[in-house]
Amino acid sequence: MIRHVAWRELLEHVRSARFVALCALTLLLLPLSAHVNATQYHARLAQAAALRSEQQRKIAEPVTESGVFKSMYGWRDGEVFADAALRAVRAPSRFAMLAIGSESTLPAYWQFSTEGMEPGPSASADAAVAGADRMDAVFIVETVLGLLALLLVFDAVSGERESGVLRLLLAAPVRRGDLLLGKALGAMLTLGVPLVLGFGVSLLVLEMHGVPLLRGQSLGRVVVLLAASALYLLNMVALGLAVSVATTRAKSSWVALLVVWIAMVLVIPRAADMVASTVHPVQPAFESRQAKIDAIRQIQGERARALSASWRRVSGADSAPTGYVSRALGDAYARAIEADEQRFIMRKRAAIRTADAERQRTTERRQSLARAIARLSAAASYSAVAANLAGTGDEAVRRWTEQVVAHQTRLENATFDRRFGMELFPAHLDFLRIIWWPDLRDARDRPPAYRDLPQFAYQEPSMSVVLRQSLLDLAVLAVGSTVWLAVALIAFQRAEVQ
Amino acid sequence: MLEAINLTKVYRNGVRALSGLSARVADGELYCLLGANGAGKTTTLSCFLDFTAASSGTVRVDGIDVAERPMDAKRRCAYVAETVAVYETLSAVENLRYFAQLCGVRLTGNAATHALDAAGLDGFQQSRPVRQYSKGMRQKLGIAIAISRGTGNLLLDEPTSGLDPTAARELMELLARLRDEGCAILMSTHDVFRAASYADRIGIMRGGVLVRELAPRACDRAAVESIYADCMAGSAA
Repeated sequence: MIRHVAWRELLEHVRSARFVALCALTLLLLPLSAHVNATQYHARLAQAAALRSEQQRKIAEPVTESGVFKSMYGWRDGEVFADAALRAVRAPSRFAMLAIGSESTLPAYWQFSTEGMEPGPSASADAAVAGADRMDAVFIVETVLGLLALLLVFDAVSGERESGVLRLLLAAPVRRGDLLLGKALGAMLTLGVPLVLGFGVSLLVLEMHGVPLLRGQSLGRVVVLLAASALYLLNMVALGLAVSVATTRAKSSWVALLVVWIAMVLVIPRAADMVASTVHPVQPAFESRQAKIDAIRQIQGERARALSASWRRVSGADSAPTGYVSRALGDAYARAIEADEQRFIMRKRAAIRTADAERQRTTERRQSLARAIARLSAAASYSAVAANLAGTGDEAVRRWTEQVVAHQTRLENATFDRRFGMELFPAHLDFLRIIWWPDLRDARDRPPAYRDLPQFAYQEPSMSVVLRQSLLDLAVLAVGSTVWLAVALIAFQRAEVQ
Repeated sequence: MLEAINLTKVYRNGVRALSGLSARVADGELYCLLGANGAGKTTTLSCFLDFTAASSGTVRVDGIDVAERPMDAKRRCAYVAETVAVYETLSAVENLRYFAQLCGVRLTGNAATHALDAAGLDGFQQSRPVRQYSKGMRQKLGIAIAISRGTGNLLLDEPTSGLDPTAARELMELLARLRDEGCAILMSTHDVFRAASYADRIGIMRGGVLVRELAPRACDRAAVESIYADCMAGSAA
């Protein structure tokens, strides 16, 4: 019985003007967005390649090159070297061509430095790669197909009640549940036409751009994205049916659903961010960076006094030596300051970590609250799943941050927090730093070359990890669909036919 | 056979639509329910079709209690509404096939065309979308849908309302034929003359109560009209 109802619904829907108009719009927009996003992907790819090439050039420079090791040495006066060799360059996500997520706001690279890790400018800061931003397949499914889903079912019951068809339908020995499920299935089959066709043509466009997504892990992601799209559309269909059952006039159901659509697609996702930012304000990046530098400067001041006292003890003089410092004196000084150096390094690391961790915690709290509010909207849950699949969502940002912080620690151990050459802070010069650059001929004093440093390699999450991360949002979509369908079924069972 | 025993219906808004209505339509009988708007005619039909649950009393179709086995009861009766509302974008044949499918009847080959022919819809009209149909044509389609089910019971809600005299007469002739084939027909109507001409029995309703039952064949049409007018005025014996 459900099959018969679904087939008739499909027949009627595909002949309707609303279906033809929105289907045509979808089939126009999906390939167009794929084309635009593929162009932007290539621009981002070129940008990442340029950053990598600059990095490789720098890494290939010999360690004896003047100043190369400066950026590898831990204590400076708060200045941060934006050393191109010490970056984690992010490759753009291929899947972002279908689901942009945060791709345009994610940094093009993260900069490692002695003052901690900092995100670089976003890829779209370059005007050449900024563009249609949110016009991706996910947005089109959310808005155009979401609207079509509501248009297909808003009058499924209220319209038939109004016209009188419902009396004839219910006079037949057909269970009301079957009738409603048939209508839901018919609407889903109808929506499947533009969804599958649109994605198919989009993937073809991407193939023509030389970015095939129908191979390897990408294929699995495309399948999951299609499944999530179907689940989102089922949510809209079920919601539409529930409202249609609850109202007596088709016009009333349409007005109610239009309000819900605007709230779901346009208002809730943005309002969630606004509320979360108000409840958990995150310190702006430049302020947090300045706070870190100020803390490091303060520790540096204390360190200068401690090292000055050590020099006085070892050399018996306040003033800086003139000319060559003997090996014996240098070694004695190094031994004398070793304990202090360790202590100050630990304090510096703690100051950086505390500032970073505090900002990270607030950011996560804000994201978590925003996600929780946004889950009121099926569209936001669907976007979150898509962004996760594309590796451009909150989870991807968290994963990148984790891996970049871990690499920063590796670099601190390998070079940033090691001591090369000699530093003095003579009290009579008001603790002005005097540096003896390391003796590059001496293996013990020679900083490592770039190529000897640990290299950053982003560990992509496996498909199972991505699915696990998307599970909650997928569950929200599934539960939402089930609840709305159940509401529609119960209300329809209890409804009296007037 | 259609049976209503001591049927009462009070809607959620407190409106009392039926009060202790009892009526019985035997196989091969055409029973017309007459009454003003709001008399409870449509509510009576709705109880037979399980559109609404009776507050008390029993409704039976071929001895099957509608409240207990609504699906079985529905399998045994067909329904024609006052204004036949079907799917506007589909043709008569498509509509007929669909509603027959819902009732578990598979109309193969020319069966749908024959059913529409029998209801008076010619071949050209059958393939046109229903949105282009007149009220009479829709009514014929409704009859075709009902007949195609081949049930022994037929419920009609003011089927002649808005039909031209010829169409109304054709419809009544068709019902008389079905009655003669053994179908139990319960029809609500305002059309006193046609009821008097074709019905085996007439039930007159007022305020949810069956105030009078009469066999029109025992009296002429003018007498039926007079009795009806008396009942509506509240002075019926």
